Amino acid sequence: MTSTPKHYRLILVPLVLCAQHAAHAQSIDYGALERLFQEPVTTSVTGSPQRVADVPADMQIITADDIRRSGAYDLPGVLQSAAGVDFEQWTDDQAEISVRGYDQPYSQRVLVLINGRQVYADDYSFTPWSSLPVELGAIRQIEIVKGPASALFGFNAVAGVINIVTYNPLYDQVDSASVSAGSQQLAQASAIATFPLGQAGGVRISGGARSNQDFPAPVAAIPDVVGHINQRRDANLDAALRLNDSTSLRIEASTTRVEQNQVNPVYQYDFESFDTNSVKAQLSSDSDYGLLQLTAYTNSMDQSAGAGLAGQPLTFSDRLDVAQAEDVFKLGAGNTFRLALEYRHDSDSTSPITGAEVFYDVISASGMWNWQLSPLLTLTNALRLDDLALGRDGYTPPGYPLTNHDWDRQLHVPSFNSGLVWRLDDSDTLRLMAARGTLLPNLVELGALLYQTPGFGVTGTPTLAPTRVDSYELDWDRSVPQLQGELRTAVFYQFTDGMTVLDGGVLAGPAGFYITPETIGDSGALGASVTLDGRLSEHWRWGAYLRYERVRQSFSAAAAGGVGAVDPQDETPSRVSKFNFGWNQGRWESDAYLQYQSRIAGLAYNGLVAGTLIPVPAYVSFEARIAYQFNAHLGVALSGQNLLHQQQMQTSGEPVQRRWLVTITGTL
Amino acid sequence: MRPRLWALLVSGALMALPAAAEVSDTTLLVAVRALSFLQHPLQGEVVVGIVYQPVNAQSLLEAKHLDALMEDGFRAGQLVLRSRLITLDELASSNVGLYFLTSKLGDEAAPLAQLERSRKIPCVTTDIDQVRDGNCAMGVRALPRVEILVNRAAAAASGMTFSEAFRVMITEL
Repeated sequence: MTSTPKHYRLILVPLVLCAQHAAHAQSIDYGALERLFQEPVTTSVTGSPQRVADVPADMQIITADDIRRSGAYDLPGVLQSAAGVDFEQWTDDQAEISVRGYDQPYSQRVLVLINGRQVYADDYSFTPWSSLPVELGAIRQIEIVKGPASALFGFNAVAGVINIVTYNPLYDQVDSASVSAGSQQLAQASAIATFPLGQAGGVRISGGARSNQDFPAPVAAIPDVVGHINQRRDANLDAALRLNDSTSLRIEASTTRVEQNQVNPVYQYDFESFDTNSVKAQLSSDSDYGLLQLTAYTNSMDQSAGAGLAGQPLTFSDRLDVAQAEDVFKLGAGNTFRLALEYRHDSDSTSPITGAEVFYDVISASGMWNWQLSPLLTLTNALRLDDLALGRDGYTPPGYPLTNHDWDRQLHVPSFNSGLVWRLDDSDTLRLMAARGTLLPNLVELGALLYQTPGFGVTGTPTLAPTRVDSYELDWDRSVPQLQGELRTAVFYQFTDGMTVLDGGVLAGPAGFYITPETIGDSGALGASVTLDGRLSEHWRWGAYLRYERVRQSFSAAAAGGVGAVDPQDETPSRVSKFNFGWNQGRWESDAYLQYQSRIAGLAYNGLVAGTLIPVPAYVSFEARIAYQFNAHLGVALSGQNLLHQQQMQTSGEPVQRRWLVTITGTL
Repeated sequence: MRPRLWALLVSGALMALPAAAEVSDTTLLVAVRALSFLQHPLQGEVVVGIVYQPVNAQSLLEAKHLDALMEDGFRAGQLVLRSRLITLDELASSNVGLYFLTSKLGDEAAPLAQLERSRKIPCVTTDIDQVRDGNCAMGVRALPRVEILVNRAAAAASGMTFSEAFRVMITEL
């Protein structure tokens, strides 16, 4: 191909993928790159493979080793001790995760993905952590990007991104099984098996089951949740096929079934169920035209809330279909580009009045330019344009003040990320970042919620505007060889423009008036954090994280004091500290985690809305794990959470209980 | 940015570290792992020609050290490296699968570039100046942070084509 113009060749690329024979690797072999550069590798910041030390973002990677040594039995438990992550335990199986404050039930501001597939649920804009179809033992690393990342991932990555990267059966053989038992009648089993297909690839099958009971005795304040058994089942298939020397196909399919006690977005305790299914196919090629990737996936989630609205159960069926194409390529010696196109269709059924669906189609184009000005100075700019078309189909009840045509709206939303990374010398790195991300109103707010009685109703509205988050950040990292460690500091400011609440507005209609979502105002957060970790010897490791953050909000009078269930100024702790110590020698392994959070005022449900602020005192929680490995194939671990108190107030909800569990793990 | 200025910046940045970093087994491992990202990676047993100048003390010392590291065969995955000491005078008659150019040889190493091109044999060194001058295609450093520098022109001339995932993570000039 000597004379074909470059742009024609790019168009032809998908057609010739299967004919490529030149390149050595097909998809990103994280293990091989990590072994070469002796540090974790990620694609979660720019879309291009990068060493963590080089990314234009404040980023933390939780390794498989960290996951095992956390002693946690679920993903939020693993994330609890991560620097920069806010953690709220509402029930045994519902913990809410956010980055740099703004945490609350159904936390919205962090986009969560598994191998790049969105697992964030668009019905309420949140992550139902228990329903994520992944076993902890199948995870290679969890990548936490702090700050907006909408220019790469699109809507809802406004405070950060958590990308869960599993082992790739093309390169990694993982076989393990574990059983756990513990307090709160906890019983859990997990199994992972990989079947190599020789040069053709590999297949991994994993699955797990868990049950527990967090409120065995009656609790007067929350009668709806007593007596329920929390249950979780999941299964996952991950097949990677080598099509030729340069091209691979990875197919993932998953299903989960979860029933558990939850606190909903208006801080009401509820017993909810989640049924999720997904199928994803990804074609990757390391070709003469760059790192090409074609991805398509479909997600479905049926979510049911028992308490519902005014006694009527809420059931939402969320469907998401996504197709993506991207190319990462290097031009010349110092310019790396990423070009991408994406289409997504997202829909949700209305509830409790059924018979209609609210949907949107989004076409997105994005580009990233990583310009290596010198080996020590890199400038990265990324821009994304999302073109969203909103719509509604189906039934409208008599007297409803809106027609389906009212949903015929277009939104054109730009987002960007800019980052300058300056390696001052072998020890010091400065990063300066600016970004804009967009939080899209969720499908419930956009009209999936529809309730009507004579004279009164509740409905979403098509006119709600997206929330815009602007972020500015300066970081300084310094390696500290005396401590065999690293110091990481960050100063950040985020301004959130146009925050919304679920029930702040009123819409008048022939059949009466309707409560609607509403834009209530703005919020700003100014903060600084320091992370220091290191090793004392071959056997000891330690880490410390300190954060100060001040959140201010300017809300309309109707939403003041958290009446709309949003109050980050009162609910974000001004000071958060985390410490960890770990020791391992021979067959033994031991870790301890200490966390401090300053006092807050948390919202509570008052029978109608979340309008009551309850003081939550400062607290210290303590988690620990000790493990013994009998031989190369069998080990046992004892771990506990909230060990300092039998029960402790950590949120405005019910106290968090002390928990412990024993886990026996077999590996091949 | 003009190529010459770029080259000066590269050398200035990477030469903030010792121009010829000490060669260790880690350095050798980094080099071998980097070469695994060639589109046609080295396989099986490979004879490494350690190119040195006997009258240059640092070059000689490094050559002996490298030779010792590969004395019983240096294994990395499926690859086994076996060393052969080659003086600059013996270059033309050498028959190897990979060159490891010792440091501090200056312009004396220029004939190596011709051999790389004509025989399509990869070359690795810890001497960044040699990469800048195009006498060796790839420079490596292991400590305190892994750094890999590739001279694109020299690599292309010697038939070294790397995967894109590798290229976007290294420094090229």
